[in-house]
This record gives sequence, C-alpha cells and structure tokens, in this order.
Amino acid sequence: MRNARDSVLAALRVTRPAFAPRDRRLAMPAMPDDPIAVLRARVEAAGGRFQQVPRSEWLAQVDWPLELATGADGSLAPTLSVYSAFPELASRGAGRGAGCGDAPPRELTQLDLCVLRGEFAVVENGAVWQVPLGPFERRAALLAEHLVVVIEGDALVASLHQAYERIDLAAISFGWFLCGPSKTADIEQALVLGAHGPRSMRLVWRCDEPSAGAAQTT
Amino acid sequence: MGHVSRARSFVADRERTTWHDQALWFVRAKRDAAADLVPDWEALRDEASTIKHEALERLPELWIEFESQATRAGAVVHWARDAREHNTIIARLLAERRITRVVKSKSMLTEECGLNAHLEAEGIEIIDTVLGERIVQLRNEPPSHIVMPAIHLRRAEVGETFARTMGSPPGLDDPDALTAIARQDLRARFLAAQAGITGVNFAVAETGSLVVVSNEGNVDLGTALPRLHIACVGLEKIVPAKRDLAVFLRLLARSATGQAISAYTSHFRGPRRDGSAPPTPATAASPAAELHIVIVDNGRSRLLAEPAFREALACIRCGACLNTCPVYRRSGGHSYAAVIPGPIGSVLEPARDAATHAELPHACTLCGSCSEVCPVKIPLHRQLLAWRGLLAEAGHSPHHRTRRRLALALAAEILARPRLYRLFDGPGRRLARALPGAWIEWLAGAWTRQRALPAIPARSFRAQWREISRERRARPASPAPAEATATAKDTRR
Amino acid sequence: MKIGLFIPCYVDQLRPEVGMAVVRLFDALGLEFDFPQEQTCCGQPFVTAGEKAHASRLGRRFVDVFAEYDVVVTPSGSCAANVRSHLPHLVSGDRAHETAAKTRELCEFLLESQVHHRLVGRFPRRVGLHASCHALRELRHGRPSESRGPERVDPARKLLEGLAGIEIVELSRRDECCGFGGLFAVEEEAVSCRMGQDRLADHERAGAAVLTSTDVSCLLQLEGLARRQGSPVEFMHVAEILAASLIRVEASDGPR
Repeated sequence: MRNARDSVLAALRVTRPAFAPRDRRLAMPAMPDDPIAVLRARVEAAGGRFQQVPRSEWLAQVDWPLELATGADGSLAPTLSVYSAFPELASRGAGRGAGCGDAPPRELTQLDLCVLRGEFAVVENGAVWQVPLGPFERRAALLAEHLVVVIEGDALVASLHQAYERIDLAAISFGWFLCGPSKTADIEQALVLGAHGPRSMRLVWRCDEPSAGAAQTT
Repeated sequence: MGHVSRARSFVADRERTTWHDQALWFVRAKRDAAADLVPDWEALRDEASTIKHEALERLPELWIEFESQATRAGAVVHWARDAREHNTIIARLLAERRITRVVKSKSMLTEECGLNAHLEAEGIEIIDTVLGERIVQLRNEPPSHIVMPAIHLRRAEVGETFARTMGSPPGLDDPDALTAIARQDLRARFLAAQAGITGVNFAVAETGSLVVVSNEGNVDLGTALPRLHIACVGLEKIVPAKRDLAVFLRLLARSATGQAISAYTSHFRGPRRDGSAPPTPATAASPAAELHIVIVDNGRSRLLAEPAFREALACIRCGACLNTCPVYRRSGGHSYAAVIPGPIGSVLEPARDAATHAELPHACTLCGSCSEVCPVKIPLHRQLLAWRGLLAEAGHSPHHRTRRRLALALAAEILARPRLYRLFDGPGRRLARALPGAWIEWLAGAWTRQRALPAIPARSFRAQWREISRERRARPASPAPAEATATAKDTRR
Repeated sequence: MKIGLFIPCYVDQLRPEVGMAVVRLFDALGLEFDFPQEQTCCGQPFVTAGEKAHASRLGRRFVDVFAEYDVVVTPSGSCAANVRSHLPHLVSGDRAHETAAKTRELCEFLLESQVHHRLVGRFPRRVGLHASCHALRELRHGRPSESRGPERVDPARKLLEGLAGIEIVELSRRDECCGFGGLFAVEEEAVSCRMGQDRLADHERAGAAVLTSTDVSCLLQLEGLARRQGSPVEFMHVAEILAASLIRVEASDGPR
C-alpha cells in the first residue's frame, strides 16, 4: 500500500491541468514622489506612529509612549522594564537592556517597552521588515506593552516587490513584516489596539540629516 | 433545514440583518478604498491569477521542492490524504510528547478537518486564540465568516458569553473592555501552551518557507512561546517563489479588511532557532524547538480534476466575496451550514459533499460581484451556475425537487411551442384576469408574501403587435407617434 | 439593416407597454424592424435554474427565430446577457455564435448605432437608475463599483443624461443587486425581499420619484415591494422614459 505522500502526489499528477507557461507582465511600482508622507500615512492608518529623528540624539527625540515618558524632559522613566536592541538605551539606565536574553517568557509579560532594530520599511503599506536576533527578541516584541522599531540609512523600499528582492528567505529561520500595533475588530468591527501584543507601535527612522532623508531613498 | 429556512430566520431579525449588512458593506467599502490606493490593482489581480494557474499545473513538483527545502531547514513534513489522516497525525504528535494544552490560530483547514473535536475527544485542551474564533468557541458555534468569525454577534452577546464563561461582570458590552478580558485570559493560555497549531497562508516552494499573517499577533505568540509548532497547509497554498509573495500579500489584506497589510506577516523556515546569539543557560537546557508541517489533500486533488471548478483552488481565503455578496450580507454565515460560507463556500462545499450542500449554489442571484472582487479572479458566479447544472443532472436539485422540476418542465414545454404559448396568451390570460385576486395570489405563492403581483394587462405585447402590424400593412407610411411625426425620418416600407 | 425585436416572454405577458415603447421609439427613429411571432423565451430562467436541457431547447428556438436578422434588439439587459454569455455554450454551431454576438440590449443598440443623438426629449423628474447586474457585469454596461478596471459607458445612463430636465439621483450603493435572481425570488423569498427592500429604500432616500432600469425583472421585483409598502415611487423601464419624454427626432443628417 502506498503511503499518503506518494498517493497524494500520484493523484496530483493525474488530475492537474497541462502546464502552460505564461507571461508575467506586472511592472514594479515606483517610489512615490513623497515617500515619507506616504509611509507616515500608511503607518498611521495601521494605528502606528512614524517619526524621523536625527541619529545623534535619537533617544531624546523619540516620542516615547506617553505613559512611559515620565521624565521631566520626556525621557524614559528609569524604573521601566525595557528590552532594547540598542545598548545605549540600556546604558541610560532605562530598564535592563539587551542583556536579559535568558529571561523566561513569563517574566517578559512585565515588559513595558521593546525596542528593535528593523531592516527597512515598505512605503506602500507602512510595514517594517524585521529579523529578530532570536526567540527572545521575538517574544519581547509580542509580550511588551509598547513596541518601537528603529530603521536607518537606506531604509525605504517602494513596495513588497522591492522588499522581497532585499530579503533572503533561505538565510533566516524567522522574519516578519510588522505594521502597527496588535489589533482586532472582531467585536462588532470596533477597532481595539493591543489584542494580544503591544498596544502601540512606533516606527522610528534614524537619519544623519532628517530633512535630507527623502532624497536618499531608493 | 436548508439555507432557505436558516436564512429566513436570520432575516426575520430585521435590526440584526441591517447591522450585519452594513458592517460587511463597510468592510467592502474599506477594500474599495484600499484598492484605490494601488494604481496597478487590476494588473495585480491578473498576476495573482497567473501565478495560481501555474502553481496548480505544477503542484507535484512544487510540493516536492517545498518538502526538500523545508526538511533541509529542519522541519518535519507529513502528508495527509484526508481530514482523518490530518487529525491522526496531529493527535499522534501531541501524544508522543504528552502534550495536553494547545493554542491554535485561525485556520480554515483545521475547521474543515474538524480538528478541535478530534483533539478534545483525546483529552487535549485546544484553545482558539483569534478573538472572534475564541468567542464562537466559547459559544460552541462555528465561525460565521472566514476572516471575521463572530461578525454575526452583537457586542452585548459577546458580553453575555464572557460573563457566562469567564466570569466577567454581566452587562459589559464595551469592545475595549471585552477585548482586555479576552487578552488577559488568553495571555495565560499562551504562556501555558505546550504546542501552537497554525494554518498557513502561503508555502514557498523555492525556500521551504511558510508565511502566516495575523492582526492580533496570536499566530506569533502561539509559535514564539511553545516548543512545538504544527502548521497545517492545504495543497492549494503553495506558491513557486519568494517574489510571488509580494503579489499575494499586496492583495490579501486589502481584499480582506481594507488594510494595506496585516499587523504581522511572519515567515517561518524550519523550527525556531535560538538565533545567532550564543546559547544562554536557559536555552541550552531546553530541548530544541520543532516545526511539523502537515500537507493536506482532503478532496483538493479531486477538485483539481474538474475544469469547471479547479480555479477555486486559487482562493487565498480573503473573504472579499463574502463581504460583497448581497445574499451573504443578509442571510448570515450560519445560513450556509458549511465550513466556508458565502460564494467561495458555495463552490467548494458541494465538491466535498454534493448531497448535503446542493442548495448552496442556488443561494445566489448571479449578480457577479464576487467574481469582480476576487483578488485571484476566480469566476465564482460562473462556477455557481455550473454547479446548478451538474447538481440537477446528478439529481441533487434543491427546494421541493420534484415540484420544481415539473414546473420548469411544464414552462419549458409551453415556451418551446409557440402555439401552446399563444393558447396561454389568449384564453389563459382571459381566465387569469377573471379569477379572484386571492386565487392568483395563491397560485403565485411566495412571490406575494411581501410583494404585490403586477396587474395582468388586458393584452400581451404580441396581441398588440398583431393589431398594429395589420394597420401598418393597411397604410403605406409608418405611424410614428404624433409628437415625433414632424421630424421623424421615414424609412418604413 | 434588418432588426429583429426580441420582447422576452415576461415582458410580453406582464409589461407589454415596455415593448410598445420600443416600437414607438423605433418608429420615431424610422428604423425598419420586425417582431418575429414565433419567438417566446431565450431560456434564461432555465439557464439560471441549472436545467440545461430545457435551456438548450429554448436556445435553439431562439437561434432559429433570430438567425436571419442583422441585429437582435431587446429591452432586457439580463436576456441580452443570457443570449450573449450562455447561448453559445448551450447551442453548438456557428449560427448560435453569430446570433449571440449580434444580440443587443436596447440602450446599447441605440448608442452603438449612433441614433441616440437624434432623440430629443425632456423628462423633468428625479430618476433612480437601478443597475441591472447582468447588464453591468455581463454586458459591461458601466464599471462595477468593485472593479478597478477601465471606466466604461453605461448606455442607459448616457441616454437618460441626454434628456432635458432629468435629475439622476445619487445612490449610496450604486450597483447592489435588487434580489430578483429568477427562481431565487420565490425560493429564497425572505432574502430576496430584504435585498429588494434595501434597494428601494436607497432610491427613496435619494429622492427618486421614478425608478428605472434596463431590466423588467428588476422592476417587477422592486415595484411589487413598493406597491405592498405603499411607496409613491413610480416604475418605468428606460424605454418607457425615452418614449414618453420624446419631443422630436432630429434628421439623421442633422447636427453631430
């Protein structure tokens, strides 16, 4: 008796239609004239926020979620529990930083903030491509109350077509597009942020010169 | 109990029907607005349809390629001919690991296979984690929509359900508060889960990757926390290459909810790895994570053999055809009594069980909106029409089968014989006009329950035509209407 | 050009005045046409019911009756769509294909044959134009609201817009189905009526005094509901509006 694999494949070989190669005609979407404005609109439509900040003082310039920014200057409160992919954030005394890679998931549920390094953002839909450093970072991004993803440099692509040209799926065991906070509309179509994961999501673009950023995009 | 009677009872609640129709129309409008922002929308649909056609023609090669890539990445691939094999494989995987607590993200395939009931019978706790599906699970109901499982419910009903099952304060009906209650309850279940079961949106042959999308993040919590991830994938979910993902992901969320993309679009290749970071004491001590992929046929290879219906295998389960369907919006998802309701369900379900679902292709006015809205261009209304013919031939005609067929045969007989038709036109018409109105109403049956019958005119068109054509023959010039005579260009014989 | 006038069975029997309106229009335009008396039904109800044998039998009759004409014109979007989309699959042979290909819905015919410019009419009413699904999505009269394909002309709208004084009201859902659907209207009576009531309410909210369509079946559905509800909306087929509003017909060598 044939095993399931062989009998499924055999059935498919019998029932499938004949192969007819077809032309692919789809043109790659171009970058819009004002990518920053489009990206910002898409991120905000997804319930997220977008910010362009100068690299040198990004920590001071990021609009941290209001409930976390308890310092007089809008900076992060030192008592927060933070996972950060940026050591400088930890070194400022905010939370425990990236060094807590061995914490069990249960402890992560106390996490106030997760700050990740993203690879690039997709202008057409407002998503950011992110490859977690490991399972811990992936969990932190889901279990923290607030999420910040930081991209920099040459970090915008027009659409998912260009995005997948940059992504090497064979080289990673996990990667994701993130767009806005976790959300649901399953009760009467009323939008609720923070269904299971973060209640807020910020996409932060660190630039050497914020105003010149748009010109460098591809 | 067929679609007709279930739909009738849904429609009887006017207020709910109004809400249901408007809520789904709102989603359709959001989809329209999202499509407006994509200048190449129709070209994108063409491309998606092309890719799916090619994939269906190359299914064996693509799955073999997928299997080899996924295996190389460390996943374990299983094959299931049918729902029973699918359920058995999963039950065995869980039993071997003594797993009793499982979280599951939304997957129409596991609904189709009846996985929950199977695992519950084995003593396994299986929790649906997407909010809408959790709500219907707590109510012991099936989902009524493939993307919005609880769209048939009002907020107060969700509040009652939570009060009854989770002890939340009675009378609570605020969506934020209700979601918070579910979040807290489910967070604990995520943390306690020993395995996460997910569906799959796309399987990439080229790399052996799986792509799963969600808005709530439940897919990711269910796979980031437990050690075991079981992904269930139907044969139709394969795409040849990475670049194809761009096409489908640009269409999927926009068609489903009007979002440009879902909040989470996760790409899995092989089991969760502990990353490039050096193993910590905790990760080193725990056994390695596992990814098992169950590839399921369950009638798909049979459907592939049907030229009239095979395109339905291109479906990406966006639900746009449900949202645009004027019947679905008013009859509610449960009226279809099928795993997948609405137009695509009415195509797929008779393929699984013709006798049970013979009525579904008739729950449709053939308005054709489903085919226009479909992101992969499945000719849904044509397929529904094709089903009507096939099911009638197979003796599965719905609705008072004998009476319907007799009435249609009689009508066809009259219409095919002009002399007989004229008999009805003359004496038949005089009789109809002479009969008491109540008799006619009775004869017209369901038409007159809420609709007036049109008044039966004294003479048919053909009777009037016979008269005027006699006059025309008598007169050389054409009798144009009085107002128009002056300037009408006369070319009549 | 030999025009064969196809008056579908239910128009013949239930709304003969629609056929008479077409006769008046064609006469006014001086078009030579004929109503072959052997015609009955194009088979649409049997096509949608899935009764292929009956449908092909009536389809063959349709071809026999109309094959000799240069063009077949009918004041019914759904019958024209049935003939064009389904007849070639039900009846084999070139004659069937040719007959299907030369069948036109009335407004489509008037536009294609360029005679619509000659109709000068006045209709100072608020009119709700109900899009027949089959005219819209099978005959491609206008672009469906869900499509992002090229814009298309809706012949009925174009002809109505040419009438002086007319106001075509703006609907909140411009092309939702009326719920008729052939046997669906009686077999799925509850859903069918709810769909029709919603459609009627949309036209009423928009302030339509007259509701029109290229399809008598949609009009019978909506009118039946309106009468039962005591709605004041009047129902006229597009052909009836065109005939009733006609002031004069320009000579064919006139302007444009």
